[in-house]
Amino acid sequence: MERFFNSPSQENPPEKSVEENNSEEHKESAVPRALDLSLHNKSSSPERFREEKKLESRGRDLYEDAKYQNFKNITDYEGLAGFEPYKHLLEGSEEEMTPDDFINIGLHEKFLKEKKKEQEGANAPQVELGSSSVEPDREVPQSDDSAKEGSVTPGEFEVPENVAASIYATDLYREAMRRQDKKERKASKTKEEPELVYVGKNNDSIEVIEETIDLNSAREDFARSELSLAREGLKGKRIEDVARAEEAAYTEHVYRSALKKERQDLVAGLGEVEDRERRIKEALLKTTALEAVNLFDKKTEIIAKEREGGFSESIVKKVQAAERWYRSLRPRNKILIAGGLLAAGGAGAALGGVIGASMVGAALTGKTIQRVFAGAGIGVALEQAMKSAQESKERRAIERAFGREGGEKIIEIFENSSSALDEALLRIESKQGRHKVQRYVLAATGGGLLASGVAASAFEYVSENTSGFVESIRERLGLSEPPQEGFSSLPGPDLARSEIVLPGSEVVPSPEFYVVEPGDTMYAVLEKSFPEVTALEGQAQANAIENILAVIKESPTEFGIQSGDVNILSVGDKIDLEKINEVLENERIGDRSIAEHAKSFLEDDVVAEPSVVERVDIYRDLEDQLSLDADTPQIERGESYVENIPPAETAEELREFFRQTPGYLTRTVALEEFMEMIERGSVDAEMFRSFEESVVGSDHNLSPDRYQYEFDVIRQGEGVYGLDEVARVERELGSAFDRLWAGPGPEDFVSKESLETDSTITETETITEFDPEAIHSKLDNIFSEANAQVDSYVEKGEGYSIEGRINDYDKLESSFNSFIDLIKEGALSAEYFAEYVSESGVTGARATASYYDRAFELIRDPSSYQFSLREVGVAHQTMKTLFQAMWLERSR
Amino acid sequence: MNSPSLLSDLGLGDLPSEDQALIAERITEAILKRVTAEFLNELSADDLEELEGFSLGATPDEIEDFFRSRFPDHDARIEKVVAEFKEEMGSHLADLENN
Repeated sequence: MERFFNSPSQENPPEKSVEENNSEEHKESAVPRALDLSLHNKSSSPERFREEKKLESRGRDLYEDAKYQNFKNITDYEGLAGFEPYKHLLEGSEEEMTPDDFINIGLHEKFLKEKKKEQEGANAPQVELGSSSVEPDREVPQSDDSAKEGSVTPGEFEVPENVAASIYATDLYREAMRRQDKKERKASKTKEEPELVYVGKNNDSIEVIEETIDLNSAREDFARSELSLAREGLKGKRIEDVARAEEAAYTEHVYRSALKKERQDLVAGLGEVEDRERRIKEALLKTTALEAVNLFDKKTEIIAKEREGGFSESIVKKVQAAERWYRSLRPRNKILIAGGLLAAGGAGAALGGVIGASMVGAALTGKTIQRVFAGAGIGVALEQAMKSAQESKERRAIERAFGREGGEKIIEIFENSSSALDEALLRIESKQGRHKVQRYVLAATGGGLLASGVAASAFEYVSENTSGFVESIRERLGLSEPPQEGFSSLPGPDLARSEIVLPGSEVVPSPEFYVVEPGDTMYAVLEKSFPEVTALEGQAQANAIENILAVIKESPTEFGIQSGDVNILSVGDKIDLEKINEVLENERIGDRSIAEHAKSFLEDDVVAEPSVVERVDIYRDLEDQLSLDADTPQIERGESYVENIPPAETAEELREFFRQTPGYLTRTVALEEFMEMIERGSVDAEMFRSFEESVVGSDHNLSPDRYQYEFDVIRQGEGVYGLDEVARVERELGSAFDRLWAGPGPEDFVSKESLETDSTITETETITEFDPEAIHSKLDNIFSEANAQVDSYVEKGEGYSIEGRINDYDKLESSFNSFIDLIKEGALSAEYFAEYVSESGVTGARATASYYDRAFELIRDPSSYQFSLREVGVAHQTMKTLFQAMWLERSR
Repeated sequence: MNSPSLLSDLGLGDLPSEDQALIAERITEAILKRVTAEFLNELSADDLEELEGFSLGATPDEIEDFFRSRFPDHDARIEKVVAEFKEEMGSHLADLENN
């Protein structure tokens, strides 16, 4: 294919392609392209957005444009004989044609018409066009530019406007897709509906339908039909058009039949079970409700896709993002929103704030939560729903603490728990200096909500079975009523787990120690043993726990961790809660306790005092923190490279800026969710392994604390699932990364060496003043090599397009989203990576930002394949400086 | 166990609480998606582009303000979607009763 483009350039140079022009635009920029785009990305105006969309659009048009160019060049240099390979396209039946065939035919026709005009305009001898079997009346969209191309000198085929050709080709493609879609739908119906019958016409045939229809396709057809009827105002009304009425009735019948079959299968699958009738009723109700949701979802999918003008993709993505956002929420927040939405009245106001949050992937802030509460006028119903979600967690905790039989008894008590006791416990919870009393209760329940009846009843149960203790506690709780009847007959708890003697000389479950069980982690122990920690949310809770852990890790054995490593608990370890409580009460950060300090990390204020810096300072001794076993390569250690980041001018200003980088926060929230899921037992080993690989293979967003945190999660998870994979996974992925570099050599890319040189580190580290121009300049130097490489790969991508190497070009396109997957599979060669990088020049800021992420991702210690925290720290410093530069730039 | 009123109204209040929580979450997710799709679908091309332009760095409140400015009947629209869902769910459950 190359010849078609080399030859014309000698005699009659082709006009510059759109991409060539595009490339020149890029090259004109003095600021490194990636930096330039990323700095402006978040503040992009509608005009800038439109500009970028146009660039992307032109990139897509390459596909069509290249085809047209090929046709033209073929005939330029080979005459019509050059079309021989394409003739079969014109001879096949329309039914057999693919969308590409339609495009080729259309472009062929366009070319011939243009050529004919050229020849007529020059009064030149007729060109034999008879070889074409183009049907004269075939409906092919026409380009508006054809008329003005009629005065071309013979032999000098003026290259038509690329954009016009692209529009023309796009029209063709749309028409082709419409035909293809129609054909496929027809074929689908033919296949799935061997006997098209209507209700009542032929019962045997109906049975055939029920055996062969697929619920998914039936649902989609029915959803389309329902939407169409609703929009025409015909839903639920008499349809005058008989054919239309029959079609609608049939579509509904097929769907209902599929549902009926599904229900029959469901009932048959239940078999003979106890209380079968109730079970069947519940199963049918549940599946019917969920099917209603599925149908509603299908209609939403159709609605999202139907917008024209190139917006449907964007709308679909936003709808999918809303779904992901909701699913990523903490269970409590999910239920909160559900309660706000589903409770009577106020749904509009409640969901309004939620849509905003979902659109930008933001953490659910207190403000939004308040709105949901206030807007919906919910109350008891929501509270109960939230309680319900908590119950499952508590139920398991209780069973762990008291054994299955004892747990069941206590759960029974829960149903009749004393509200007076609940209230008393809540009062105590709010008081300072009463941690011991709270922990008694928590230890007794295995860690549950104090406010729930479970905690109260369990406490009474334990008290009743440990005479002497009860009076003491009752007195402290300010309770006067006697215990409820029946407690004394309950089986005793498993006291063997841990025993201490409290004042009163009675043996009770240990309030002073937490006895480690399989699956426990220090995170979980701290979370469930200290209500003041439990009461904190999100980053605040993580901050408190991390600060406690930072103290514990100085002498883990003194706190009962036999391994000497906070990350490695052994079953049976007795964690000294009293000693931890002393840390909570006495340890000071500034003039505040750990818990008070953490409260400043409430979700709305999460970046007021960036936890990244604080945590890295605390975790400076990385060797201890990562606690690698003997077989695990050691992670490179070094001094902190982020502690010198200067503070923002005002906390409020920086907070405002970080609010606009929601992605920075949501991943931590997601990790917390995952930890909770592990604790709840709702993560199976396979899901965990998948998570583990994704974490180890991710870029960690240049944040040492996140890296540390993710490692915490992984190690906890491995303990739960009995795995010891993290070292292997990291080694293998590290090898994959190294293979990436093994081909063309580091000098061909943004070399990791270039990021690791002393001068680079010095440059990034000395950027401590907020001078945007200086920062631009210095980073321009740092990344100049990168930009030069990007330019070279942009040219490569353009080459693919111009040469008509559509498959290679498509590969570039698809590689963008599958880059990480390919790495995981070890299938991403260095050459492929080069192609990937080249795409960053084609699709603008999004790809460029990703490009830098990937470049940083490759910062690894080649000797161990471990991430180098030192380098991550440097990179983090760079990004942090960038963020602050952006913030300053925007604030001007 | 009490449940949000919609579930009770639809006769799903007697399902086990875990099933109710699952259904409530799925319903919420579906309504959130539908509202998002309908709002976006009804925005003009210029508005869509404007939204794309600033949404990356916007706060939730700014997004909401944007929608409220474009759709004065913002709340009513959401409630209409909820009502539509309720009607559809009712239809399904009635179909279950009848079959």
